[in-house]
Amino acid sequence: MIRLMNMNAAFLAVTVAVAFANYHVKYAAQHEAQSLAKINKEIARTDDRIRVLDAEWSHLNEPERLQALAGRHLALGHITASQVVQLGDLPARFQAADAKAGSGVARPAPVVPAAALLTDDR
Amino acid sequence: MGGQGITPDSDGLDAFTAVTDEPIRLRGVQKARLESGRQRLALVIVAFALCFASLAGRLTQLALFGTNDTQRFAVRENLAGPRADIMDRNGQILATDLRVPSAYANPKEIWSVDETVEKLHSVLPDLDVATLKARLTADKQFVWIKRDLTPKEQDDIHNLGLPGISFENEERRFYLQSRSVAHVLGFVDTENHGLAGLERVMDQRLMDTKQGPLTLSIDLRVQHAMRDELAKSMANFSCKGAAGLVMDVETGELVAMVSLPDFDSNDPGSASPDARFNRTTLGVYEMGSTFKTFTVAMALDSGKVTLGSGYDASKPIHIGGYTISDYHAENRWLTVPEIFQHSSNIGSAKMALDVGVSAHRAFLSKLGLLSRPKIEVAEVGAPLVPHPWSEISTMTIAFGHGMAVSPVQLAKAAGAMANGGWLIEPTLIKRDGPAPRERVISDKTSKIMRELLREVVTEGTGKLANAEGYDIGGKTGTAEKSERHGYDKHALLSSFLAIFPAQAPRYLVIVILDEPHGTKATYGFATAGWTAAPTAARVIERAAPILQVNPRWDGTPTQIAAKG
Repeated sequence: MIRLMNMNAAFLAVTVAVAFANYHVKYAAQHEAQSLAKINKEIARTDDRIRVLDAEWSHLNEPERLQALAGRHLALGHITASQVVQLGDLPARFQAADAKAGSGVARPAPVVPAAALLTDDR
Repeated sequence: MGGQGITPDSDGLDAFTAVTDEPIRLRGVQKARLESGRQRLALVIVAFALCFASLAGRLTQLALFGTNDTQRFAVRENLAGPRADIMDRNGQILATDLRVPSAYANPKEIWSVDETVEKLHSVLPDLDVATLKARLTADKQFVWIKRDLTPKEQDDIHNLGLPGISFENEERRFYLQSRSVAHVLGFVDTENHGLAGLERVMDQRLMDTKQGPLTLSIDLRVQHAMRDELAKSMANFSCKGAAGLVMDVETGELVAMVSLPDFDSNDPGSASPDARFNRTTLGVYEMGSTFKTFTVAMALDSGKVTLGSGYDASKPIHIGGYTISDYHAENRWLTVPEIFQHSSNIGSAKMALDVGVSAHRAFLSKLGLLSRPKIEVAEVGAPLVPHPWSEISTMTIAFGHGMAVSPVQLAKAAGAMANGGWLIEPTLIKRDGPAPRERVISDKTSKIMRELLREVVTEGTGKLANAEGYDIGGKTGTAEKSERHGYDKHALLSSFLAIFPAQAPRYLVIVILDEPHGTKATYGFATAGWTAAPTAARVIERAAPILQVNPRWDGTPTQIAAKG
């Protein structure tokens, strides 16, 4: 009889403990799910903002707009053929002139003209 | 202690006075009844236990292994779905979807219609009060109030605190380059379905956002250069319209495709039908002398004519009541190169007759000039071809009259003349691999054509297209536009077909000016050599550095030093 009561008490205790654990896990999972949903929403919102910025960047880079701005603020014109040079078209560096300029003075490395860097040798 | 069990055959009184702690034993029928009762109870217990066990098992399974439920979104038909971006070949975004809020109302939840209408009208003054009231009293649960709100409008409506008003985010298409690629892209309707242009033809592909953005062959910078120069020439020569395209002759990719006048894809409704008319793909025109390129190529490729051959161009041809004569007639015998350079109609007509009527027709058909082209926009026109095709047809078509084609057809056929003899289908989508192609003329014929085209620019009618350093080759074409009662001598279609660099062409440029008028600077001339040719040269000068085509020097270093 006592053994039966003990067993009952034991089962009751186990049931209560399991119930507590169950609800604890349940609420913890719910909490996690809520944070996950919040983060996902934040990601979606940030993605949208990135898309808006990408669109604005392309819009600001509209060639017509840049052309108008360049015309207003810069004194640049269209590139003419005479302004495009390839590396192979340049004359060889003349050693005689350098030798005269400064003997014994350390000479800087040859500078590649900027124009040549801009063209692709095809 | 020997207890006395209660038995049916014992004395009843005895049973009541006896107190035992022996278990009650049942015998016979009562025992059987109790047993069956017990059995039934056990059965019920087992059944319930099974149910609970299966529930517990399923719960455990769900908890441990999860589910494969695909989420289904409730889709309302009147909401716009997302659409893939459209980019140019360098990654510049041309069209994109952005989420914008729209306001809607649930009429069943509105407390006071009059108050709601009044407050909404105070915030959105351009809403019509009558229609708004009608909408809010409708027997529906969803009515739009205003779509595509600005953030400020959304805030204002929200701050009114009216019940029954909510917001829904919709995807709306924005065209970031407004006018430059209007004819190429087309536009969409409010539900983000393509209505015109590329948006319509590629509708299914664009609705599938999983495939990522759609990359076009168009280079936005070259597109803008073409549009800018066409617009300048259109204004300068007071033209009715203009069309231009730049095509890569090796891959068939259209790097630029412009038709003027154009419109803003963000607001297509406010554009006139003329502005929405795509002159590069839908409009068909008698191209005039640019067709001589095909006549000469055909004649040379057939073997019936060589560069040394010639024809008598001294007298106009009279046939069937028509007269074929030359503009700026040389009035002498002309060799084949001279016929091309001086653009002789008489010489071209005779040359085509030499090849033969059916051979001529077959050649043009091979080049795709007699059938509707395939291009990724919705507005494509079919060519106008004479029925029946007589000798007169051959003669007039030899110099580009009597048959009308679209500029994109001209580009496809001319590309084959320039690139070594390969016919490639033009496309607006970026091509990564080799393009499918078929041979239509020999490599030798193509080389000769390139030289002839270069000579037109160095010595012939295209001198104003000779931009320094770029070795431009081309052919002018000044066609008198045919009106219903014959040819209108004052309405011209001036076109220029250019390739550069002529020795090994990489790009082909077509410029067409619709009804240009001469200016003081052109001495009153509106022919192609004065109008379309210099326009093409300016486009090439702007586009070549972008397309990485370097100008060619004679090779003398002193030339560079002197310019430095």
